[in-house]
Amino acid sequence: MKSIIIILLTGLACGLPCQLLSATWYVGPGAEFSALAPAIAAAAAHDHIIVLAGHYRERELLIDKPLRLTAEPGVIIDAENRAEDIFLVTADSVEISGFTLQNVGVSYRYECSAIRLREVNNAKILDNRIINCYFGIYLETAGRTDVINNYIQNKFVREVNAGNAIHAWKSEALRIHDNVVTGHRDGIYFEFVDDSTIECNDSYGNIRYGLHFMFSNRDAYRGNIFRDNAAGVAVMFSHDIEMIENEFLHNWGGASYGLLLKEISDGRISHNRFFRNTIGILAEGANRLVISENQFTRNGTAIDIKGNCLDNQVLANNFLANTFEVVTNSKHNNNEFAANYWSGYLGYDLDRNGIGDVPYRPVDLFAKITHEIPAATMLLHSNIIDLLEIGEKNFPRLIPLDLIDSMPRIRPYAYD
Amino acid sequence: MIETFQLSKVYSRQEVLSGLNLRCEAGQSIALIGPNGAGKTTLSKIILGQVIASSGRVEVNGIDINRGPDYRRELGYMPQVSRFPVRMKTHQLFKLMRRLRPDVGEGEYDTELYEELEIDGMKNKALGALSGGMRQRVSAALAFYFNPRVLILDEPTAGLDPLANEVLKAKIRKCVREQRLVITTSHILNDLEEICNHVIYLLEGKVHFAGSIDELQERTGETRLNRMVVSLIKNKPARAQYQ
Amino acid sequence: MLNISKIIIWDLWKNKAVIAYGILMLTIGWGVFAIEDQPEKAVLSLLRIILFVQPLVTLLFAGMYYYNSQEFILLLAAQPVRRNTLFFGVFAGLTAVFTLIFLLSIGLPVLLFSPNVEGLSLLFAGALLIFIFTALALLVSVYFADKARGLGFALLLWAFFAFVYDGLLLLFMYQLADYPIERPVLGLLFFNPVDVARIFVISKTEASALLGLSGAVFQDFFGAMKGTVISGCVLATWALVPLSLAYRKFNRKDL
Repeated sequence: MKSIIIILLTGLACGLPCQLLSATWYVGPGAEFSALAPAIAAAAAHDHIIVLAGHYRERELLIDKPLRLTAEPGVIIDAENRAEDIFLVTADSVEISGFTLQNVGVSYRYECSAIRLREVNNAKILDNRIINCYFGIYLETAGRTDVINNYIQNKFVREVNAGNAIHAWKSEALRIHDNVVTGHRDGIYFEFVDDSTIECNDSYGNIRYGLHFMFSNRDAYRGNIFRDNAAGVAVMFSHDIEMIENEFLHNWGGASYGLLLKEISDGRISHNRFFRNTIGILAEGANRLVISENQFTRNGTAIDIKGNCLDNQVLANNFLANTFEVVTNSKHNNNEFAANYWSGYLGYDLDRNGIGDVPYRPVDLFAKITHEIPAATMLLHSNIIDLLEIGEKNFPRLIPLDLIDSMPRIRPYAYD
Repeated sequence: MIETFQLSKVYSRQEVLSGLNLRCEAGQSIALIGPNGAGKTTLSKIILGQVIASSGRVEVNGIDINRGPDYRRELGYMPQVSRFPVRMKTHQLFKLMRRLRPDVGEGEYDTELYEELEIDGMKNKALGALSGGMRQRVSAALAFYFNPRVLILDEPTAGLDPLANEVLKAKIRKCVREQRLVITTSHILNDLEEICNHVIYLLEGKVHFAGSIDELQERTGETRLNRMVVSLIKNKPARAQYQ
Repeated sequence: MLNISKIIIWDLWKNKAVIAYGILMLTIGWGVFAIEDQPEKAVLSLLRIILFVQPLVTLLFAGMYYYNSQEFILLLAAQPVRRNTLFFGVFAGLTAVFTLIFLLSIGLPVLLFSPNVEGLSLLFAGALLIFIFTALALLVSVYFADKARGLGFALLLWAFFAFVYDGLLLLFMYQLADYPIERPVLGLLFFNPVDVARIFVISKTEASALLGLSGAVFQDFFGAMKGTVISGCVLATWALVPLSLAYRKFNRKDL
């Protein structure tokens, strides 16, 4: 019994000092500090700074010790369009929450941002509003960091002087959850970021990618919505990515797609919804991916799979009313298409097992023609195309013979 | 009432009417005769506005017919062959025509032929189910229905049974007595003789003879119309009265 | 004019061919939605009907009706009725019946099962195509006195607009594939009402596919409302030009 008390006391003695010693500082009109900078300077490690409502014209706030910064409602920190960071965090275990950060100016020499984390671990960036800042949250060599429930908005027009909303570089174990990012160059940018999750974010109206993803491995993103971004989502030069339950909506335009896959391998793309994109998935050099149980509805092209894609499996997806279901630039097919529902399929099911009795070729002649002459897209749904299509179906000569779904579904899957 | 001035019609380089000058007055019943292709039907169609003249003009009551369709209120027309919408019933045709003629009031319709030709007996029959003769009777009743001052009848007696034929002829005579103008085209000269007091004889698009039966009789010395016509064809072209 | 249209409508309504056509269209229009689970796919099938079958029926039927009613038109022309009243009465009667069949057979199911911009654009284009092809039918009929030749020519006209023109366009594109042909192709499409109607509908339904083209011309054209507005206007022009040509001819024609 005694020993237990001793152990408990020892435990408390070790844990308590931090708590007992941590002070709380108030910043705001009538409080002990009227500005953040002196409060940060005065605070000791693990102190808690509470900022009261007010408009603070401050920037270059260096946080080089573990601190908790909490803003009460109505706190605005305004960088007045100067090209400087508002917060620069260089210490571990910093938490910044509840701030409205605004007006970080554009610079061509330095990617200044509302919140920059540099070589830190265990940071938490929560519930902030970041308005009209060059970069929103910039993670530079961060680890085990959470970026959750932030709202990051800008109104960029031109790509050259636009920054990203959430920018992560050379980091790992990040959790980017529940953020809303809009009006930036890329909504979320990942470069050399491993073992991270991107969940339930809403990325829309960005002038380049909703999500831009390069040289990053073993990441998962799920439950996000990517809509109305100029170019869609790009996942490049990566492997072992899981893309699940996301929505890719309305990514329209000349060089636009729901999801661009370039030089990636061994990923899983499941339960996503691709609705009204110019191209649902554009795959170049994508290998060993499983694309399953997705819903492709009313896209210009559901899947454009280039000839350099190998051993991908396209299984049990719904293809509903896409103009082109599958497009390819190759006469040969090295991927597997099976058990999908194709709304272009006109076959029958005599044995009533739910699987069409004749195989389906999702690549049609018109896709082939428009590949050679893009202008021929103007003849979409022309009667002459239907007539040619009937001819080609009966005497196939141009379309790849081996791109076949041998067990097309008669009815769509219920995925919605 | 009807006057033509240098009226010409050219069908694909073939001149059907050339420089016709005619004057037809109220009270006249004119037999418009001449060999096939002389231009009789063309002339009546020009007057009706169905064919457009190549040159010259037509005046009805002193007004150029190109000024508008209202002059046709004065015209009753019975075509050579009448074809109506096949599924329309007879009474519906009359109803339609009455609707097209709001200028003629209820009770002002001339139903004499309608009754005497027993149109009422077939009023619930579809026009497509009527025989050629019955359609002619409908057509005749229709031509007189709105009390026109001018009647243009193209082969009116062809296809009519003798009884109906007599009814029609009596009606025409009555119209003439009422100082209306009747222009009848026919090859059945015996019928014409009974109803006409004037003759216009067209030949190759020109007026070969125009004048009253009396004048024609005087000129040819014949008593029967068919004789007179034969004589006309044989003789040199007579100078027409109105030229 | 209303009197005449009424009588034409009444006459057409009892026509066996019209009844057969109406039943056929009703079966197709409602059947497509009954069979198809996806309204998007159904709308596409109906687009095919509107671009292929309907112009043919409209052309041939309107032409046939004109030839068969010549005597009746003659009778009406002898009444104190203006030629233009007569002409537009016939035109309005024909289009009214075709449009009514169209609205009952395709319009109603579309409005019920797919009441959106796409459905409405389909109905707009379909109705204008009826207008256009009735006008073309009357144009052909007033120019050809002979029924057989007139209907033959109408058939050729249909084949030309329905697929021959697009076939030639495709050959043209193959020949000149190396040149920037987007703009001329877009321009050439306007010379075929079926193409314009098609473009009008797909600029609403499948602009995503058209936007995939590299040509800036298409981006510009289909990007905003521009394509819809222009193709809508061209369609209206296509309806008015043959109609006014036919009317002029009819006005100076020997019936």
